[in-house]
Amino acid sequence: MSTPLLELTGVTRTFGRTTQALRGVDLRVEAGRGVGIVGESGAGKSTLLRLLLALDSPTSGTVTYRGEPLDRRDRAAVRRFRRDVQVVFQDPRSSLDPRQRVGSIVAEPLRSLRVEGDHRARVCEVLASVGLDADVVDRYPAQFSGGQRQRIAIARALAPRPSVLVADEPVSALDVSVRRQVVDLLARLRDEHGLTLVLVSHDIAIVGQLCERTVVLHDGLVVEEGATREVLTAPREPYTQRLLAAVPRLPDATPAG
Amino acid sequence: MSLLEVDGLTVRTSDGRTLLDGVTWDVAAGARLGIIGESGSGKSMTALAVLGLLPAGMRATGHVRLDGTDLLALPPRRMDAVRGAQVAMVFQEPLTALDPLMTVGRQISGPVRLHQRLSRTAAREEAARLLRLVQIDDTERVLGSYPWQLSGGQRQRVSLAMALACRPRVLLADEPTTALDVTVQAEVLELLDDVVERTGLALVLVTHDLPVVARVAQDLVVMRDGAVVERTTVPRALAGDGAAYTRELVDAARAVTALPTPEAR
Repeated sequence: MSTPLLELTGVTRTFGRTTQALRGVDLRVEAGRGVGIVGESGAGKSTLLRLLLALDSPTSGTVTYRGEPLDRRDRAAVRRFRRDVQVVFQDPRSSLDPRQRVGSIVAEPLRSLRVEGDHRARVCEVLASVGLDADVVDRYPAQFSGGQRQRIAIARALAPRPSVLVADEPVSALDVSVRRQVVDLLARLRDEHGLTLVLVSHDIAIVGQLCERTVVLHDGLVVEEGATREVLTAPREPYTQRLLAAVPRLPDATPAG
Repeated sequence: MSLLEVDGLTVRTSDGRTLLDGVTWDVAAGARLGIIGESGSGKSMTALAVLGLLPAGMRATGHVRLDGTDLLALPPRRMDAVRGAQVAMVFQEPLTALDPLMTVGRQISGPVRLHQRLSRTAAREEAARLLRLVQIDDTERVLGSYPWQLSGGQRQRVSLAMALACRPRVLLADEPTTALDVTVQAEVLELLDDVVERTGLALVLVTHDLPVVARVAQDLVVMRDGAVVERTTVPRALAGDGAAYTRELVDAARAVTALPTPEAR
């Protein structure tokens, strides 16, 4: 087996004396095999996300990046990590600085991570790959719709050419028609840029559409994991079965036959 | 015979912009109507206008008839007596709808005492009955709890119990399950269905989520840009009959909720 991009082994995270957000989680993110992490409130999704992004350290257990533990005090190592592992958050209204122009927002990781090369050209390139014209660079986030703002956030994440894109509920704040466009965009970017997606979501359907593997998190533990198709069509665990049964879906339009 | 009739409801701002344009629909006692639309469609504003809760600077014209009485023509004090008592509401986020400084018991028995003129003890008993109606079993614990001590699903049940406190004839629910986990959402939707069944009130469910509407409602109003695109039924919309915009919404909802199919073997 090749070295995973990210790996959590026996990870726990405790807050205060009593709150155990994660209670012993193993997770591998391998290159080219997107992972969807699904679960409800309180499952530990956000805590797991912070550990995957090296924004927090586990109480016990290890988190490795390309086979090595990441020392969060080693600034050069953290910069290399951040170039390689980027994130898109749920709500672009709060993740984009309203006082900065789009060009500056998208170039921000290039500046802060000291990426070499022509930043302006890179910004136009990533804006084009998310379907935005180069002339948006002079405008402010407020001048865009929710879906367009999420495209801007995705462009910013792509700017330093990461190999992993971590997305935290990337479409939950969007209207349904826009949601579909952003899901399609993520699928296209995954294929064109060879991105490995790590999707943290309560929305099982979008994980089904974007990730090869699915991890079901419940009460701080991984209760089920496997190939997405298997987990979503033939769940073994009662909790996964309950979760799937609860998702409202439209009945099919045409009767079979 | 319709119980609540919204007829040509139009909302304009003081500077003359039209936010709602001639919205028309009706709902009968015991019926379940879904109002669906994306952000900016005017669905929530419709609910606020029906309740007489429009923000300052907005003016509603047209008619909102409850059993023939035009609510838009009522003086504010008479409207206060209608709101909550005859037309009640449930909002998206129970944590903002509930008073954080008041126990659940006081929050539910308050309106009960106000509208039904019951004694303190009788109001408390009525509050316990309402909690049982929304399928909360440990009523004593919940009555003595503050909202933050309850889970999201319990809070939404409590706000539903409050809405039902005065035995309203119409319940307006604006995205009542959007803030909830899916397993809790499924329970609350079932509960809404059950409440309509048992009390015979008219339910108006306002949401962006077509699969949620499809679980509960039969009649459907599709809104876009402040106007009604069409009045239809859930089965007709799902079958693809009717307006192109409705078909787009249905297709998009199918696409985003589609799960992988088992591999053919």
